[in-house]
Amino acid sequence: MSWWYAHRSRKHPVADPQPSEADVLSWPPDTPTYQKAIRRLFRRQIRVLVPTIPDNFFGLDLLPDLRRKVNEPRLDVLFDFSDCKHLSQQAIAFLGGLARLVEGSRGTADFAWKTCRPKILRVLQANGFTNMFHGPIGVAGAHSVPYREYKRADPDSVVAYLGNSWLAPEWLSLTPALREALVAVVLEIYLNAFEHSQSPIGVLTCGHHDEARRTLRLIVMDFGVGIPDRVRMFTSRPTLRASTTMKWAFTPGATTNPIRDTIRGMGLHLLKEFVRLNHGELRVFSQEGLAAVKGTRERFVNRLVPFQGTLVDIMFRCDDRRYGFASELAEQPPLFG
Amino acid sequence: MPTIQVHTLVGDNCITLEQGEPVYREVHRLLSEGQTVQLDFAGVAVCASPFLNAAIGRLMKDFAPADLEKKLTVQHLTSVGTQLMRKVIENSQRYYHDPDARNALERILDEEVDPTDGTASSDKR
Repeated sequence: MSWWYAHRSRKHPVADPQPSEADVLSWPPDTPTYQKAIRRLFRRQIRVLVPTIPDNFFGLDLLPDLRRKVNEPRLDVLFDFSDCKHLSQQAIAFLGGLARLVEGSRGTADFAWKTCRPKILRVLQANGFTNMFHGPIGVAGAHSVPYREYKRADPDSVVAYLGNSWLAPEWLSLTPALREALVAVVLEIYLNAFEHSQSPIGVLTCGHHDEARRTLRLIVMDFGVGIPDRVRMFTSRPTLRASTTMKWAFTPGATTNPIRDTIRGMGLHLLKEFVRLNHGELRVFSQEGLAAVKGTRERFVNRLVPFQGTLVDIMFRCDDRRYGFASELAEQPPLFG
Repeated sequence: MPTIQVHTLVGDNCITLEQGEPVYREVHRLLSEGQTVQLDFAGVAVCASPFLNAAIGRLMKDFAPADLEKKLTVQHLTSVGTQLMRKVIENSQRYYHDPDARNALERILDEEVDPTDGTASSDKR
């Protein structure tokens, strides 16, 4: 449709301003081809260089910058891995989220798979990430927890994912009780994300089983309203520090969505206790708040680089010897006593 | 003694608050009639705390723990489910019968340290 612009600019070179997209879209003819051509005029193509993202706090601080680069509508984004030597599990979930965010803003997201180092590509193929984003299909990895996206609350599907994929029986020897305990306690992270976050991309998840260290890792992420803002809104205390809101959220009975007489808000507390008793690690990044539980230590701090949304990073030791929600498992006091 | 088959009412996975609602209503009705109730979890694979809060925890509001101990029996619940239920009951007891527990959350917010002078905001009031 360039003749249309050319005609107008020749006739009114200065006085006539550039038409807005709305003006142009309302102009007939209203055919799909015309609309597509016009939309293309208002698009911007960018190439986003994915840096090396290590599996630590520094790596996590690099993620918000990536989001800033794609934070506008109608972008055609190409993620380029030329500079990337390592991609953490957190970064994998985050990249998937970014791609869906771009697509949700009427843009397109592609990955330059040829720029990917073989080691990284193997990881992305093993967990099915490349498959989700039209990349080269590879062999599913024996110790890779599949990358999944949940657009809406589907607890039964999450139970199946946790039981069959995360705790895959072929590479993990767990007692049925430990398997059930892990599913029950981790499931609540998903329930919280579905219920509270209003995430535009739903909930994304991936993970990894480290055979040498005998650890099991799971990442659950959303780009919705973070815990600090939800607590601030609920308590009508807009100046609360993020660390305080995180501590509050981990207290039993704390919920930002009370329903009648039902007691709620046990999920994070139970998870914390389970992690503590089973010598695992838990890190919850939400906006500028961080809750970290490692063994018996726990800390709630403010971070300088905020994470827009919530990222839960759980690591358990694959050890059948200790598990449970309480240390006094041998005792069986009356339920209601 | 009436037996409530949780699997029939809910299904394989007892997870959400909504799933706990019919179980709660049924148990509450029978207990209010003075009957002894048996809750059978046979066939249930996974129990999560939101379900247990809605189905069992809420009973603590209207019934004393001693009455529940006598009149509500739980059957075929896995060891993990039993541990979770214990946690839920413990929490509900605190919430409904310990007035101080309700203020605990408020205290956490009041204890916030002011970054400007290092004092707790509650100290200033």
